Amino acid sequence: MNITETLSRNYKQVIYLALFASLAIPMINPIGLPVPIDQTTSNVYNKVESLQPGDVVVLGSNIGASIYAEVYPQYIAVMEHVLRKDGVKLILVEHGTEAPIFAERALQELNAYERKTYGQDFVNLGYIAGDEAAISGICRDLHALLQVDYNGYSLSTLPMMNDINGAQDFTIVIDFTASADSQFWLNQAYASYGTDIAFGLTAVKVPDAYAYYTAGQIFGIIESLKGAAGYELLIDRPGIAAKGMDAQSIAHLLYIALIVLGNLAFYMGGKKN
Amino acid sequence: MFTVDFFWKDDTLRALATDLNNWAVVIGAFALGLGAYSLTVRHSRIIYQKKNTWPYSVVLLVTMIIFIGVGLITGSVSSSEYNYIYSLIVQPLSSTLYGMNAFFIASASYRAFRAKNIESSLLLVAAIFLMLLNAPIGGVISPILPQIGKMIWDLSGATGMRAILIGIGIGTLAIGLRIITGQEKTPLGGAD
Amino acid sequence: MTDLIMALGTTTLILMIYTILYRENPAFRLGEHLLVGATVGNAVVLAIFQIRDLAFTKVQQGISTGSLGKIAYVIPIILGIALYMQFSKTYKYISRLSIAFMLAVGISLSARGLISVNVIGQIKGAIVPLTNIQNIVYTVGVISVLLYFVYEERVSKAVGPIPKLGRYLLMITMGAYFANSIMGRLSMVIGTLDTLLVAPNFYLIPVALLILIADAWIRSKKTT
Repeated sequence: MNITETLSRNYKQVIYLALFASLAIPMINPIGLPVPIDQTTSNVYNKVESLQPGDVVVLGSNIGASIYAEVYPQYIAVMEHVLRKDGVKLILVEHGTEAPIFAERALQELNAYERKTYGQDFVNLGYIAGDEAAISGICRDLHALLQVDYNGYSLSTLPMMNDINGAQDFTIVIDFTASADSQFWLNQAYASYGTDIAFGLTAVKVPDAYAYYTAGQIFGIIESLKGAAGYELLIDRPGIAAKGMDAQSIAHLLYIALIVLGNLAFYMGGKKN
Repeated sequence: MFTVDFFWKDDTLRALATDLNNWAVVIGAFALGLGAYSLTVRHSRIIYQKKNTWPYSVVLLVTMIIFIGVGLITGSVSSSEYNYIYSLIVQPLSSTLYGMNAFFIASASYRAFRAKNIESSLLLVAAIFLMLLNAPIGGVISPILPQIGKMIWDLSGATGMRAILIGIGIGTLAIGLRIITGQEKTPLGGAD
Repeated sequence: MTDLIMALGTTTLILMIYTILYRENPAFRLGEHLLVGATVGNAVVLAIFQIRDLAFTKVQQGISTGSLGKIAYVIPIILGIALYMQFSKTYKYISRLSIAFMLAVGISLSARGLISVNVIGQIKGAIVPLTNIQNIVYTVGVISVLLYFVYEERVSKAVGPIPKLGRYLLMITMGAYFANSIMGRLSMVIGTLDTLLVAPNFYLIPVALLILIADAWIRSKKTT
């Protein structure tokens, strides 16, 4: 069997190797392509930047290991931005079974427990089961739903929670997810209480959310790794997102080349292929 | 009760609705264990009957027991021990498994995505311009490419995506009404 | 030492999953089963903590303070246990109570939100002053896609070719979903490579490649 036959028989493996190389090489030797910052990402940045002392930010998350690479950089960038704002209260709430691990990991990574006072500046409510019912419960009456926070502290012993009862006390909610809980926050917090909502989403969910954005129902979207890279640049804290955009560029060119080549081969080789 | 509570503000009704809401959250927590129960029964049967894949079932059940054990003994999913086994096992496996699609889409891009008619051509052309919008290199090759991509993105957002969301809203409402009025019996186990 | 186990362990597991790109094999299956067991175990742990914090603690407080509202949390505990009756052929009907309750809450919560967010909100967003070409295109576009949904098979002469325009716009939208899907999947691979392409992890990549090449060579020898 000659090399052409081997390549055409094992074309899949050739494509896989090409994709691996197109991602790995730019990660080892970054090109340094400029990362454009979307308006949707800038809106989230500007909104967080405009927060005043006493404002309450809720960061919802459904981050799991499967979407970690896309959404965690967004989550940690926004959390860092909020932690830099003096007097702004931060509430973390999780909707996925893996999310509490990443929420705590983010807090540790940003030294939140050293920089701020737990219970006064930020609280982690932990995972709450029940999808939309959980979000509805948080928006209606937090204290009726939860007795203790993620660390086991009674909510009544946490000073900042004394003035926060539900969605009417939230200034903004930013939900980081790949699933339907973005819709749930809209249904419960926005529809009933008019809370300002933004999303940090995986690329697959962004098209749905964009329709909400153009209708003015959400104030911003952090779109996948691209949005995370933009946000990292805005807060001047480059991380893995900015590093990964070069690899994204080369891999996207590979995909376009494969589509064009495949169609060329189809039409030039005749439809018998 | 929830629907009435949405439109008519009454303290007693609100308190009742809040309690019912919280009950649903508790039942949702119980529902998390359903998958575990079903999985345990199925894989125990495979091990007992010594089917071909029984070693994998042993691995599955042992892993499950280890995670449950470590979680309950340490009392928190944020303990260093739990974090260690989570980062060792779940994180690499899950992210790699879900990322495999990138490779399969790449081979499908070469083999299957054909511009055979107007619809598929529109899909592929739109996808190409949007890929050049998503990747920074599009703007480097030519500034016009991401601009065309943005126009297509805005068009699809204002038309197709909007119509899909309206359809989802009406469709979900219709299904909900059918379930509540008993016309749709499948979620409750069929017509028996 | 633990760091080294972590580094080599995660790399081995990642490479085990990547072997599916070569062919179906026991290493990939093992990785799959490990993941399922771990994920389900994680869910069970969280379920236990949730039930303890959201229900049992409240019932205990209710008993000690005499609060009927908190004692009433026994009801969702019973309904939650009733969910498991669906695995019994004889008592399966009991689980329908719990499912019906969940459905009722879920439907009512989502319905009131979906109407205002998805239907009214989106229609409001679609109604724009027809003062420029862009707005006219967007308005005609959303109407034509909705008409396509409604008239998919039953083309009415009154609407003419408008549903067909809707179909074309839907294809452009599918292109948007496809492009974003690619970006999303690539991001996941980039995250994995960020783990793989650091020392000492990357030393295992040539080891894995050698094993695969050896396997391919042995299989080719068996077939010739």
